[in-house]
Amino acid sequence: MKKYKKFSRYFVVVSFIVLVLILSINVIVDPYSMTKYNLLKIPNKFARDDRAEKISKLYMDDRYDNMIFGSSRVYVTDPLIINKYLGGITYNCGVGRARIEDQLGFLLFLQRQDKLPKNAIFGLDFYSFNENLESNKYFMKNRELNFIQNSKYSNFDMYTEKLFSIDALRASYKTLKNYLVNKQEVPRFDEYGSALSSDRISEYSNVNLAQLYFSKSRIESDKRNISTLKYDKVSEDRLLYLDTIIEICENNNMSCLFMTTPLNGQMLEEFTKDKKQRETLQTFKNELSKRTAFYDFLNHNKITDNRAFFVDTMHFTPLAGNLLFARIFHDRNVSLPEKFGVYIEKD
Amino acid sequence: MLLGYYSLNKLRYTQGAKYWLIVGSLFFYSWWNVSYLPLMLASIVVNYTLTRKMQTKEHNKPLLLSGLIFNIGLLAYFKYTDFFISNVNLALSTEIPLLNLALPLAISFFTLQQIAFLIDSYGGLVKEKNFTDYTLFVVFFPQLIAGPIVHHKEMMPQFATLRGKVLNYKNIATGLFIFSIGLFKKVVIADTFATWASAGFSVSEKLNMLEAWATSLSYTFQLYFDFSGYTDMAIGIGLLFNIVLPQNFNSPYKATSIIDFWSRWHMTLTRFLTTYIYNPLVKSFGKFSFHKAMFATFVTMFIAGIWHGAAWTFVVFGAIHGLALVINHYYKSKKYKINNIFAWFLTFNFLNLSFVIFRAESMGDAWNVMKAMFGGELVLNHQWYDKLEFLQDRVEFGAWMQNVASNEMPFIFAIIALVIVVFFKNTTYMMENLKPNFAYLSLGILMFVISVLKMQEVSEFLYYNF
Repeated sequence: MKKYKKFSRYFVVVSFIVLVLILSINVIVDPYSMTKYNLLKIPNKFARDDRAEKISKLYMDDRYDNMIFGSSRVYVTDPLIINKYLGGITYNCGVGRARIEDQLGFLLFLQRQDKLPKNAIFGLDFYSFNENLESNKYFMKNRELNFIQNSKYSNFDMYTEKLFSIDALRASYKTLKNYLVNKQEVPRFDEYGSALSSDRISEYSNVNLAQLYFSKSRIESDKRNISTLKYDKVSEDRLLYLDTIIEICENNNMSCLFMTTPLNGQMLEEFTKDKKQRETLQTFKNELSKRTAFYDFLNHNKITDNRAFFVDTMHFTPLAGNLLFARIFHDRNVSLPEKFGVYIEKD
Repeated sequence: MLLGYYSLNKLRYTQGAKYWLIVGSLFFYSWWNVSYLPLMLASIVVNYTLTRKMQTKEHNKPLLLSGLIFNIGLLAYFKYTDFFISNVNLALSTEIPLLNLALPLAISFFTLQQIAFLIDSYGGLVKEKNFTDYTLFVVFFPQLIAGPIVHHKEMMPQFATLRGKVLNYKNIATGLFIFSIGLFKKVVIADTFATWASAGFSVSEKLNMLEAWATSLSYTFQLYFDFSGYTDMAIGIGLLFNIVLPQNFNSPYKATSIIDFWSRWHMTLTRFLTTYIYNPLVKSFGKFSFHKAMFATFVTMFIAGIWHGAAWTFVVFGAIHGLALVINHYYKSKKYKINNIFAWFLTFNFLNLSFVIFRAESMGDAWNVMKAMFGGELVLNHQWYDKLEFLQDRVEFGAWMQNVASNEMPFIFAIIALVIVVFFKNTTYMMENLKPNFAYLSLGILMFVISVLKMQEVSEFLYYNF
């Protein structure tokens, strides 16, 4: 019986010590910058959550002059190009699977921090306005971003996830290892928030692989991504979020540019074969034009129809990103097809 | 709770210790949903009153019948009313509004437990005079929500023994270890599969062949690890209080026939069905015959299917399992021999397919998944193109698992899970053979710590819904 007593005691005590130790490491390293105290003064943290990583960076950095907001379509664009056009310093605030609420969340956060930029570019993914599409769970869990009151996640959930979880431990380990041993490695996003160094880009540069990503099944899958949740109605709530973004821009004298992010022509064609989906797309554009002027890249032209400008059917290459900016900043040195980024005036 | 229980017992407040357990159990129940607490308490009071009357009267068949009507009526009202109304609406083109009743937590379990007690009381097999003991029997928190479905005679004597009132370190050590296994099964294994199963079933009409298999296998393993994980936790916590709960799983995926499966899966439900439905049904048919027994088997499984939920998918699930049992019994009676490995393969695949029906939102969804499993498009990972280029005329290379996961993990996990469920010793074996040594200690702590750190992603237990 003594052995069982020892076993039980060790079980409880050691488990408790290990858990406290893990919590302590996570609090000290704080890979998601939850505590706001960077006890070890670690410059590069390896949070595995785009939103948490960018929020943490924006906390520490000074105000940026220009910012780009959007999803993974946007985060591969080069902020240095914007510096060339607008001057000042640009930060790419794109995060994976962003909806319009993510963009508004970032804007509200920056407003609270008194760090709103002078210029802002918003990349709008039309499928993310789908009424049936739920908000991203990382958005919902992020205390700084989530302005929607009905979140099923509490602050407690967020703290436990970021400080007392396997994921937090992994992020702490990676952060600590980089800090102590290999100081060369940079986080997924570069200093200015761009994911240009992403492995995906080099992977897709292989022509054969790129061909595969444009296979029939890939297009079908991407099409499903867009229409999986029956995209027959543009979300009223999300249009309201867009209204709020426009309001913030106006009230703070920000110069805001809006653009619909392009899809590869082949994908666009597949998607608009369906009458209902074609109508939804048009409704989306109409709703946008009621609210603001914007550059429309959701159409066919020599660039969007050319696979070389896309890493897959939904994501354009950094080079296409440069062309996108060349259009919206009227760069006369770059020759672009007329239909690439059609300027739609506000109704 | 544990501390309070043993402290009160040590101070010889044994009745107080029981109250403590009852209050703690009711708090545990209310933590999930307090609104149905009065319903459960009312059910306890009614059943206790009826059984007390039965124990004092001679002609108590009407009491038994009213008890059965009360319990089955309660279950039927909350669980099946909307299903009934929607089918009437469909059949008669009426528009009777649905009641949209939420299913009270654990109703299926505490109702079955009390039905068993009622029938046993009627048969004179059990007697319970003490309301506190009866309440404790129903609400004892480890088994309250999702079983095991316990008998009064196997539970209450344990609360009465003197040994049960003092700390037993063997039970504590075993309880902690078994609880950790259960937590690990649920939080780490079942919830990992849950993500893939949910993703696949939500787009059932769009799955390719491999995605459909990943979806169905994910659910098959999710269901087992989720439910058996819960049971292990219940058994583990029970042991901490010196209460041995009955075994509920005995490596069901090692089964080599459907008969074998149902003797290993949710064993306390099978015991309930056999004792309180199958046996009385066979008796009611008069002289025993193979055909009558098979009819009773089919009816029992049919009821088991409906017990799981109010949907045609559960009806079909019960019916095909009933049919499979009948065929299995027929084969057995003819003494046909099948190779063991082939028999296991056949059984496992039958289960995997039947769980597609069990999980699907509708028969249409189930059909979509099954259709894709056997006739869907075969898409392979684009990264395999270089090695499998010769297959390019027959298969597609591309986003092969896009609708379920972004990689091949569902298959890797399914293989690991299969190895665990087929080749590893089960929890019962570990419970009986736990050695208080470093290896068991490290394994237990590791599973516990990992599970605690994974808990923020936990979804609800599947059997809460049944």
